[in-house]
Amino acid sequence: MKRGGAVPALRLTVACLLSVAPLSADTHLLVVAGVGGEEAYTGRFHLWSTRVVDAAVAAGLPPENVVYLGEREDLDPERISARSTGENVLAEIAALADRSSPGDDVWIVLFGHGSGAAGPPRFNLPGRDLVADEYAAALEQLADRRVVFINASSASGGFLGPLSQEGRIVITATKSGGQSNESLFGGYLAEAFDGAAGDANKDGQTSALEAFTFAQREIERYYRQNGLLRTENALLDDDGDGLGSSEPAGVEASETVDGRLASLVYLGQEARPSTLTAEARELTDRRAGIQRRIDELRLQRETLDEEVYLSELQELMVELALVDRELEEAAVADGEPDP
Amino acid sequence: MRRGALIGTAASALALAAVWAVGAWPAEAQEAAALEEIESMLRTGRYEAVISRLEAPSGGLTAAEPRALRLLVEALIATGRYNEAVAAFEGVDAAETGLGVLRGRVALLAGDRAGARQAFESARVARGGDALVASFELARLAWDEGAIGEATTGFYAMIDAYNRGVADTAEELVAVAHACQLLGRDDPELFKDALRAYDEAVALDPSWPVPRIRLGELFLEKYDSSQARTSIADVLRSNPRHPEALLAMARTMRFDGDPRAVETLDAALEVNPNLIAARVFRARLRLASERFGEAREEVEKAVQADPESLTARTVLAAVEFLEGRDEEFARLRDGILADSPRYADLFNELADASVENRLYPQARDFAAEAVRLDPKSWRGYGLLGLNQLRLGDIEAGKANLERAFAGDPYNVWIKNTLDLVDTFVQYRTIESEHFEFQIHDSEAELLAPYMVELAEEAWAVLVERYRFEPPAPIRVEVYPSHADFSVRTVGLAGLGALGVCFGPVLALDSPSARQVGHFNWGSTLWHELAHTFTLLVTDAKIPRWLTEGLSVFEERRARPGWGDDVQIPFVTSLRDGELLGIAELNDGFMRPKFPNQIGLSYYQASLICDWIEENYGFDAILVMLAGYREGKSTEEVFQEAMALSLSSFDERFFGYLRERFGTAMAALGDAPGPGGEAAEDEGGSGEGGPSRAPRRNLFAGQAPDLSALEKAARENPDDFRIQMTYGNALFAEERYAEAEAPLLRGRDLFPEFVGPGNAYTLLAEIYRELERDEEAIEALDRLLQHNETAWDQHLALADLLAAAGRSEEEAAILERTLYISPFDADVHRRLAESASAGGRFDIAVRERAALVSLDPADRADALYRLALAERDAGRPERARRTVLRALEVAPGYDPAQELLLDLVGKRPAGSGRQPEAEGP
Repeated sequence: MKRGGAVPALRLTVACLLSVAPLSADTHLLVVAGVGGEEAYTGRFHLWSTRVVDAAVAAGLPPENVVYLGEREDLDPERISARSTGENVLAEIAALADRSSPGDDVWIVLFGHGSGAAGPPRFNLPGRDLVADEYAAALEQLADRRVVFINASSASGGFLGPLSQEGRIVITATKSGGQSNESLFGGYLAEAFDGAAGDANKDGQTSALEAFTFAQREIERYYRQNGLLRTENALLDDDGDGLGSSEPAGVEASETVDGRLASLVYLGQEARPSTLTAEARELTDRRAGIQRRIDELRLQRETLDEEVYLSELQELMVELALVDRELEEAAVADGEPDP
Repeated sequence: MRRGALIGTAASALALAAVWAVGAWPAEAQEAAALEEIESMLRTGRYEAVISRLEAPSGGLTAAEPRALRLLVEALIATGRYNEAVAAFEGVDAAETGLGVLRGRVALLAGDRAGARQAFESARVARGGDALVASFELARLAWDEGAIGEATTGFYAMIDAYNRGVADTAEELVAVAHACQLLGRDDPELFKDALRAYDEAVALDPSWPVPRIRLGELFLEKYDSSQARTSIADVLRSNPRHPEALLAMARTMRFDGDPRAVETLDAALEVNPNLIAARVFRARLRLASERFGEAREEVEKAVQADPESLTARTVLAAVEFLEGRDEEFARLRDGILADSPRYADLFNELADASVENRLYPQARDFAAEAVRLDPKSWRGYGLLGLNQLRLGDIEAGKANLERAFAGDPYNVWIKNTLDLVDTFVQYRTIESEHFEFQIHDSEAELLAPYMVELAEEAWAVLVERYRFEPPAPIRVEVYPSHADFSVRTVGLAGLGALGVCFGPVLALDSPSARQVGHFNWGSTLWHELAHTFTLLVTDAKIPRWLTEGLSVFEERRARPGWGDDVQIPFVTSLRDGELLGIAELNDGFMRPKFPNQIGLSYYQASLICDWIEENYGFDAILVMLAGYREGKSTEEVFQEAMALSLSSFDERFFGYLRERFGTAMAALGDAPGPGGEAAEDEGGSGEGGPSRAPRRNLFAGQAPDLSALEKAARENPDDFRIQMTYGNALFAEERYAEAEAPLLRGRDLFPEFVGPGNAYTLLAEIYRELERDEEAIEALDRLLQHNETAWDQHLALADLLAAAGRSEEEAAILERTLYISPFDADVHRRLAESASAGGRFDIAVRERAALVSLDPADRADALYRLALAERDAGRPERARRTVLRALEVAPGYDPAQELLLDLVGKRPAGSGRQPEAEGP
């Protein structure tokens, strides 16, 4: 095995073994590019959309689970399933409800312009716009699915309240309908999924939380670096309170804090390994145990003496590293091909 | 007033008496109409016409005699003819005619306090129309004499009168308002009542200017210059010659840093040369400009006019103090306190004057004296607190500011400063050998290593050069919000400066406070630290021009490109003889006559330092500093250091400038001077140094006529502007090969010009387009010898050097970009890689740590690479901790796991895997 190939192989193995929920469910993606108004925006929204579409397919989503509704079908007939009219968007959500099963993950991502300072919050589509309440009503058909709804448009903050629901992840590019300046959030969000940029914990997958955090951080950097006044503040809501958070916590957060659910949902679908050897199963169990102990230790960080904490952390990390190496060897022995 | 009495006794004194003594009397209606007209003349500032009309033999006014007398006296007061105003009352029973208060005020203006008291007392007893105001004036006299208890009783009587509804004229309401204003020190709520009463007075008599002026003064007292300006401007709209309004406006302008303050004050004194408050204010301005002799001259005129004036004598005491005449100072101080034992403003004024001359410890001590004398001197507590903060005594400063704010919650400066001090908990303290940095938590990790490194380097350089070591630590406050820096400096937002030095305390904008390319924090820090040395080595007796000049001079020696660069207005000012001689150079900083004169003065002062060093060696500068410390004048100091009189110096220095910039002067043709078009070429300026932000490209026009430009360029090969305009136009059209020649010509005509549209930037672009990289490198290198903020050009040069394989030079340029903005991750990454490749592992660690502090999206990888750099730098323990931090983020991150196993010696036997080598 070439050294360079070892890491992705291990990632795949470990991710397969640890990501229990995704393994038992399918993931579906609907990307909608709204009306650009100008050639530059049309091109930009299309580019962002294709990045997410391609990233999802690369991450294992079957192509039939990925639908892209674009402003102009002629821009990319291969990828764009249909025009992003309001009727088509609603029809596609209904189709998603038919196609998916309870327990599946459904991602809906909107790139475009929005408005919300006057009148109900809306996402601008060719023809009639859809307002937040219409999306909320359409999503009722997806009950029992884990829905990730991302509105990366300007003035999208108004979508948070109507769409927020327990068990649902809602991400908006702005904190209110009043933030109506051009939003760059979508671009960074697309970047987070496309490649490894957003994969903060290096587990080979990008969660909704990781993508949000990546985009949020890059937005902050962009405005700071260019000495500009920030005109967009993205929010994530996954505890159903409709308030959203600009700095959601992670997997260690309680369920009453935004971020926990989003940290567990990935835009991707792992290929199910056919079988696991007994040795690999044992290693996987050991690894999960170590990871649990690491998580527990991290929760105690504030109460532990720094040296004690580091010493215990080191012990666990060494243990984890050694198990990972054994897992890697087991994978090689099992004949898993180099990627 | 009885007509007979006037006729019988005042005929010899005033033509007015003669007017009333002769001729036929017009009917009452005609008289009233005439007086209305005169009143209107008075209220529109036609004072001479009023006087002339009322003094004219044919004027004949009878029925409205008291009114006529009042109008005449008011016109005489407005024009400063106080003695004539006194004479006008001769033989008149002022109290009985309701003019007792006016009589008293005239006496006061003429310096006759006893007469004033008598007049006010008579008016009060006479129970005429002005009795209530007379009571106020009596209380006011008591206040001035330090009889605070008696005065307070009198002021509360005014409030009582208001509440009983007997204060119902505009003048009475002004008296009530003024009483509330003075009582505000005991009960700040009364400031609101003062505003209300002034507003009512305005409503009652909208054309009477006094309440609007007093209202403006009250706003200014509370640092609300915007409202002050509005109120006073209302008066000046109808009467542009009202001396008190002009004075109030001058004060407001001075507060706002508006250079028109001086001309506005001059206008006030032109109307009324005996307006003592204006003389005192002018003297204060002279003091702030370090023109002590002129301040003395000015304030002596005021003292002569009113030998008992507390304000004038106070400023005179300040002059004596600042000139080091201790005995005279003590005599004046004691005299003032003998007359008014609780006159805390004596010390408050001394504290203010000390601040203006950068004597912060003395200012603190004077303010302490003020609050000792009067425990209700909220101004004193404010000054004490602010100066304690300036000297780094944060806790005591905060406590005194809180006292000041409790007593006067309407003082915006104090409030803003307290709000700022409350945010200090968000700042992290970073200590180094000679410094204590206060940097906001959000950027301390990133900025501190660079700031500490630069500050310590500057310390070593400056200690050696000035042969002096200031007491350490120096406190350096770094503000991520320019508004906070501004509050720290002047109490309000909006200061144009970048940094400020209080001696042992520096405050400056963080690079995050400014747009990238508008600010170089490194040169600013160096500049301010140089002030610390020059201020402390001279006990703050160094003139402003020299401390600023030396700071820029030191910047220039620190790094290529740092320090001011020459701008077109400097050369045109030199050409037009508008640069100030050494004797007036301070005015260029303190009393600029046009907006960019401050910037020109900084540059000029730095060139003076260059010139002295070049011709007499740096020791001459040390001799000058020693001389100033001993209290010597600039004349004496120049004589001692260089055996030059000031005029000889000017002659030689300007000769040098004309030679140095001779080609540029000739090449600028008829370019307008600093008051003209080129004024827009300058950035804003402020106390801590002029902004070096990019300016407008003067050579870029819309839709230029290229053929006409080509012809002009051909016919005027020595005209810089034409060559540059033609070059810029060709460049804009992407006719690069053709643009080269005029741009090269422009460069040669004015090689030091690096403003927008400069030849170097465009030539570099052209050479890059034409793949003449070496020439592009040379052009950018020459540009950056003079320009410290050109972010894009720094990066472009670094790219070209990288492409040319000149990695050490690339790294040097990238290092310089960090002083413009340390927030660019790519710069840090390149520096880290270059440092690792070159075996400069400490630099690699610094850069990798910077990348971590920039909160990268891929935090695990950033930490891992920092750990690698630490390992390479021989710090395995640090590396172990850092890699654990990486694994906290990404427990399964394989390279980090490898490094950890390697560092703790747990790599499985036989494992051929190694942690990655540090690199991209």
